[in-house]
Amino acid sequence: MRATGTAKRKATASKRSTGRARPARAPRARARGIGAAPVAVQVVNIIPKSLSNETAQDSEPHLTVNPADPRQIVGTAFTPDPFGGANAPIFLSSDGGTTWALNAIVPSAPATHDITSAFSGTGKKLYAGILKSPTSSLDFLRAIDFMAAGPMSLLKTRGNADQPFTHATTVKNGADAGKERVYIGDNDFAAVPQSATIDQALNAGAGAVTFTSVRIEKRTTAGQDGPQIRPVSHPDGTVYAVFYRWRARTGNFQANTLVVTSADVVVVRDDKWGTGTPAFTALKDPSDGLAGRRVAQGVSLPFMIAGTAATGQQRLGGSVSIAVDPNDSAKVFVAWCDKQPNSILTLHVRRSSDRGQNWSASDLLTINNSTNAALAITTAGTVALLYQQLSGAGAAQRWVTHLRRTADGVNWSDLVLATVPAMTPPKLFDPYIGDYDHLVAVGKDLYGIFSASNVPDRANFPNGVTYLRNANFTTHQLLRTDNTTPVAPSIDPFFFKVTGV
Amino acid sequence: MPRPPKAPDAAEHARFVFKGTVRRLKSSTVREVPATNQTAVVGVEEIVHAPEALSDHLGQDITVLLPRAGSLRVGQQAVFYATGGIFGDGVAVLCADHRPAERVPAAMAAAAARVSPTRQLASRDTQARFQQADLVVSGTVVGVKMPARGGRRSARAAAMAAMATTAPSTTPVSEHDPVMQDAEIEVAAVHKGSHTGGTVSVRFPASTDVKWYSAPKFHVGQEGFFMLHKDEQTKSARALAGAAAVAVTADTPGTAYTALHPTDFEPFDAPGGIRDLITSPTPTP
Repeated sequence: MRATGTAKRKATASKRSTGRARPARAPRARARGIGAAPVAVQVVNIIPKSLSNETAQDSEPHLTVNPADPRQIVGTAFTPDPFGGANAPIFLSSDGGTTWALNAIVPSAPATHDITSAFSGTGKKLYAGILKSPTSSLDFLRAIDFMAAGPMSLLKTRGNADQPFTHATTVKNGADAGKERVYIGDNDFAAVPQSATIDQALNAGAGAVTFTSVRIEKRTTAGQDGPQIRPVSHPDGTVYAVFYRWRARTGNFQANTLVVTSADVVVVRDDKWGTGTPAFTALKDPSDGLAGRRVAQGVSLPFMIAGTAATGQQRLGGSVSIAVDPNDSAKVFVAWCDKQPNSILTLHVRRSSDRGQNWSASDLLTINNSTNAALAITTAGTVALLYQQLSGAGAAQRWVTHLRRTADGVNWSDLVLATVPAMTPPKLFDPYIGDYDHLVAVGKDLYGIFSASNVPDRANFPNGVTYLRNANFTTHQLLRTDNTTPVAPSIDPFFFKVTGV
Repeated sequence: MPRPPKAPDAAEHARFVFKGTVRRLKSSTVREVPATNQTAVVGVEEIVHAPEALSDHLGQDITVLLPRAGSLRVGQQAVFYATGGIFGDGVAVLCADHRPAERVPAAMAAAAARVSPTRQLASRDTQARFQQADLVVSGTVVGVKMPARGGRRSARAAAMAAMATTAPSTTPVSEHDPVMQDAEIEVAAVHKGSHTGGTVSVRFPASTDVKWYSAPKFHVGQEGFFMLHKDEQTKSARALAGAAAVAVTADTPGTAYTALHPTDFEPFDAPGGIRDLITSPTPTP
């Protein structure tokens, strides 16, 4: 049986439970748009039918959509190779996210310790930054064709880094037209105490690729920066990045009591694809004249080694995101999380209309008990925010995945993509749902991915859902490939697409 | 069109070995794998060993990406050695080699013995770890403690440790910190390697981070078989050695034993596995 999402399709799903019906295209729920027009919402559990037996904790998802062909999509997570072989898998779709398959092409056995990937928009080329298993070396990879079976090529490797976050694009105009740019944010322990780093390749499509490590932290720190370093580029050559500068901390990480008592949210910018002199110093803070505009100062956040019942099993360590308006590189939005009273983490959104020099004095949005912020802006000017919020208390806690959208920064719509039990299943490892999720805008459409409990219950997905793996939504049971034997709940990655925004 | 990898010894490296009959050539059952002259649809008739994901494909048709075109005909029976796969609505496996069924009696004998295909593969993996191990003992965990910080250290580790002493609030931390601990094993018997003394110390990661969660976690009173390795922890932790806590761990004496793979510890009451290896006069793959 292949279960479907909307109430209108219940009859169809029931028919499928007999095993006679052919799988249908994923349904698209209609939801209220920012204005009067409705939007179409598609949510898909991307574990393929042939892997219906799996019970892995497929957390910390990331997504990239080929801007040259948005039907081509790649997702990643902590998913192990079903073969237990030498390469970790990517999730791939060639039909816009309706169907998915696993292709084990990431040289890391049997999974990765961190992974993000990005299409450059040149052909089917895919780039990735990973922490390779078992050594945790920081590896930069490239596949000429993400659908081919051969392992991705290793472009560069080194140790001592954390949380690679990959962004890629292709230059459209000017002397460098056609060149592929890759920017990978990472926390480089070889550069402590100023560890925030962008590794950039300005001609990543070349036969021999040169990556340069740009140290974007220019101030003193409390030994290091936070692990989240997020780059984003604009077609005009503007490249932004956001990170936490850790200034002070207390407690003990191994005892799960570490608190970053003072951190700044810093935005850096380069106006020439990362070739500024020096790179990423175009944006100065007026208070000290140093590169890196501090959007917020002195914020506090926990940095946990392990999630607890009080945090919905999720370890918390902050979250940042940045998005630039594809129509105007001066317009940029930033989101970050910090600790506020009576909230595990509080999410803040602010904007700048002058290339990051000045920022809104107060939050455009403030959301308690939330993490995994991901921002994107469509060509229609819609700003979207994906995040995961812990609601309820005790055993009734739920992880609720929201997509908020705004056209003016003031009025925000709210789509609940999933609301799932926070304590089921019990975590296998940290992080429970991942240290990040992801959101991408291509044209006027939004594409995203998040990880959540996969208990098949329509009430958990208010805007509908499609399960590719076998599931019975009546008995709320996952089923093995025999479509009969129950399978225990686990954490799965969920793709979503919102059109008409 | 995906191309199956060349394997130097398909039988040794293949993780899915099965006997099947070619149903169709130039055909595919998987949307993401287009039909070419190197694809065939094969009916699975016997499974020798398999990962869990393929353990219940007996009797099903799957797509096989052949190592070369024209090597099989419709109706031909063969043993296929697959090293990887593409999992979608159906399954396509990357076949590194295939041989006529009658030429592989040993493999078929194993299948005929009706041993679970997943257990067959697990046994092979355990044997590989056994062969890599420097010391295999049976015994009981009698103590668990934080690693001592004495002994020889590299200059870098010493510097990091000094920084940790003088400015503890600036010691770098990583989400992937292993939180190493030492388990003291009272040795009942040595099954591989040599060891003198009644106990052996094993360093293990207590962390539940994605990098370390599957490594065995030891506690007092645990009894079983331990497959111990001398240098794996050093290799693994070196990549993270920028974090002081990890650096200190990484620079512990090279003789520290570790058990990082899930199969490196096996309780006495577990079936098969290490017990079979040490009791079998001639372990078989």
